[in-house]
Amino acid sequence: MAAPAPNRPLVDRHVGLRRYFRRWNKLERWKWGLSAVAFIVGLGWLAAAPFAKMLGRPNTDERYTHGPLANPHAAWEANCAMCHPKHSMKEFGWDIWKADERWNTGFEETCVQCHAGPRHFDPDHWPGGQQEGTCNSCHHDHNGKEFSLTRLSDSDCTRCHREDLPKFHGREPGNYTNFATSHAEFEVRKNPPARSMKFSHSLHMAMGLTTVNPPGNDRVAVRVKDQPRYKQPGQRENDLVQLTCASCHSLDNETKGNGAYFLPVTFEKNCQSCHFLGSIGDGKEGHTPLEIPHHRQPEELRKLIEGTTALDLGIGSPELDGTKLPFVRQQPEQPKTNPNVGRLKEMTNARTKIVEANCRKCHDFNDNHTIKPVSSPAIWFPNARFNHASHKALLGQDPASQEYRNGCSACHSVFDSPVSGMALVERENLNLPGIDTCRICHGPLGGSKEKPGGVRFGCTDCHSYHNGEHPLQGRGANAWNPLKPAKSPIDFLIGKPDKP
Amino acid sequence: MLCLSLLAAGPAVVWALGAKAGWWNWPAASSPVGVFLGFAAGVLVFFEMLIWPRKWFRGTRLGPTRSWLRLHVWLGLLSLPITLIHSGFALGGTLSAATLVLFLVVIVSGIWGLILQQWLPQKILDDVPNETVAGLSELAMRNYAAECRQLVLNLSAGGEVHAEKVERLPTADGGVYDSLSSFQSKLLEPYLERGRHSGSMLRSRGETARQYGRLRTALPSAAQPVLARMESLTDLRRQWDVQMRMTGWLHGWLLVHLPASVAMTAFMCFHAVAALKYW
Repeated sequence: MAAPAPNRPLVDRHVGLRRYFRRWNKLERWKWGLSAVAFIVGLGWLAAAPFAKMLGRPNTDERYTHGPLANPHAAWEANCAMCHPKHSMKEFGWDIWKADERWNTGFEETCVQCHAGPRHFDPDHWPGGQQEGTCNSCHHDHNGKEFSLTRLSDSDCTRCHREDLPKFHGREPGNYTNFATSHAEFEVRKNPPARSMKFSHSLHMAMGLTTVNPPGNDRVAVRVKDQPRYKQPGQRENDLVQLTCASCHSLDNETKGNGAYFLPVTFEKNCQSCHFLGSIGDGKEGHTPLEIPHHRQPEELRKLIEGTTALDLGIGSPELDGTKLPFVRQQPEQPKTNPNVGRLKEMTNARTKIVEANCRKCHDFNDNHTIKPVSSPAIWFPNARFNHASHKALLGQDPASQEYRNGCSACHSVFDSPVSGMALVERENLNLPGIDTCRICHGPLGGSKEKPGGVRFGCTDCHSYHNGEHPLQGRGANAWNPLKPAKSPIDFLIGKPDKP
Repeated sequence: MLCLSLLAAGPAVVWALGAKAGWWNWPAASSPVGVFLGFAAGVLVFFEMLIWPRKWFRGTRLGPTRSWLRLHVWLGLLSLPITLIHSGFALGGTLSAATLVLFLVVIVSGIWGLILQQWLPQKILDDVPNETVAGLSELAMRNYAAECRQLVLNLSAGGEVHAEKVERLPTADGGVYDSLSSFQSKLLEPYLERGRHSGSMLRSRGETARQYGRLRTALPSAAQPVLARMESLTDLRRQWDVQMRMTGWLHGWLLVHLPASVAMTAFMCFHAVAALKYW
């Protein structure tokens, strides 16, 4: 009898179990069991939507969304088809690859039903081509109820606003990828508008409004008794006038604004109390003298002066060269006399010269003897927004202190420029802070007292688009101007832009 | 396969560098490229799942299983960058997020399994000279336990009693083999049947040596071969315990890999339909 093979004991262990591989062991049972559970649970979760819809649950498609809609759109949380048109599988041909096209086409049309603002971008210049240049290329919804659809990430802007792309806004492209490091100086600082007025902040902010120090000359120094409206808290009548920024500059919360901007300085409101333009005329025979009006060109003033002078000379119903004098006050009918035209012209020229000297004190003249229009805009940053009220902390903490009253100097260096020796610099440098002033706070956390940083500095913190710097019905929009034709209520509500 | 993977990785790297430099955009999931990659990833996933039914038909001529496994591994790895590019490195909605997370679980568990399978089989060969079929060790050990019972019974009864007629050894108070009988029934048999889960002191190699040393001294020479057989089976049980533990690691990852694959494939189908329906 042959000896058993050496592996026989190893084989004999499993006598009767040779088809063991067809039997499930513990591992196989767990594998199949868990797979079945995973399949059933997964399928159950997915299949729950139709049942939930039958039970009246509001949003059964929530598993497909990328997140809750922003608050303005939250009403359509349960209605995906409101923005995303559904497609049936029958519609698909080779364009099945163009999923974004199907999605964005309907999406774009849906947006403009409510938001009629002009497109910000030129789709032909869009980096990803026309199909990508749609509303949702920048405005990303489904990021939560509190997510702002207008506060975009910088990358949404900088993918176009880079050096290597064509011109934007009619300016040379620059590297605007980061406000804190690579944003160019503000356009109005690089190319300031030509000043057409003479004005010295330092003279006007000086005590007694004189640059003689100390102001010992009463004929020059202005005292509170002469201008009581500028009396500061604690001042006595004989003290010198001390103007502060707020003496002339008022925030727009006095009207309909929110304190973001300052109202334009006007002659009538802010200058006239000291700079009275004077009056012309003797006031004979019951006529009141003519107060020289503002906002008139020299030629208009000359005619007014001529008419007033004619009355003073008793010339009668004043008609010169067949033209009726443009009197602004009532003229009594007087019999015609022989007019002394030579005397009239002489007096008119003399008086006009005096009045024009008053004009020239502040205004520049054109070559054709007209006054240049004042070039100071109401809004200095037409392509950005700024809110003075948000920066009030820079004023300081004690409203009664002089520092607080002149707290604007934290950004506006009005005291640095005007007086050079005794010569008054009448045309100041632009007192608009540059980008470096903004970067003291708006930039990455600096940690030092000189440059604390840490305040947000994203593109959309300053810039907004579509309706320029007058979004919807804001400041400067035609909707606020009663002289402009009114829009339809629907156009007004959806923010349709003004016609040029 | 490695060359193919490198060939596929080349354009991807160029693509990524170009996107980083701003020459073109990283493709969105809904762009033509994104949708194409989504389809490609879907096809790969379906192919990956085919390895499961392939194992049911081992005898069928469908190509060597080894080649199937290689394709499963390499194409599975290739599906990772394709899927990530398709996703735009974002989770998206709940469904797509669940699909992507499950996909990543599948990939990670697969890589973990791949690493274990490169290393553990050799370790089992080294550490367990008497390796057996993992699924049959418990059955075999039950046979060995019965063999021990029979050996002790034969020794006590002079070799005339058969194991199948006696479930447990009769108590032989004062007998020569009482200590052996007690050892077999209280320590050895539970250990052989349940191994390290039995709570037997024979789990310890040192304690085992002490127990057998004591019995070897106390018992007559006729019992020595039985004791030697018992000791060898105790050692075998210990080896198989080690093998079972390592086999658990070797195949345990499948308990994650497979269910996650099944759920992910189901979710992926729903994700594709929903995406095409709404997009």
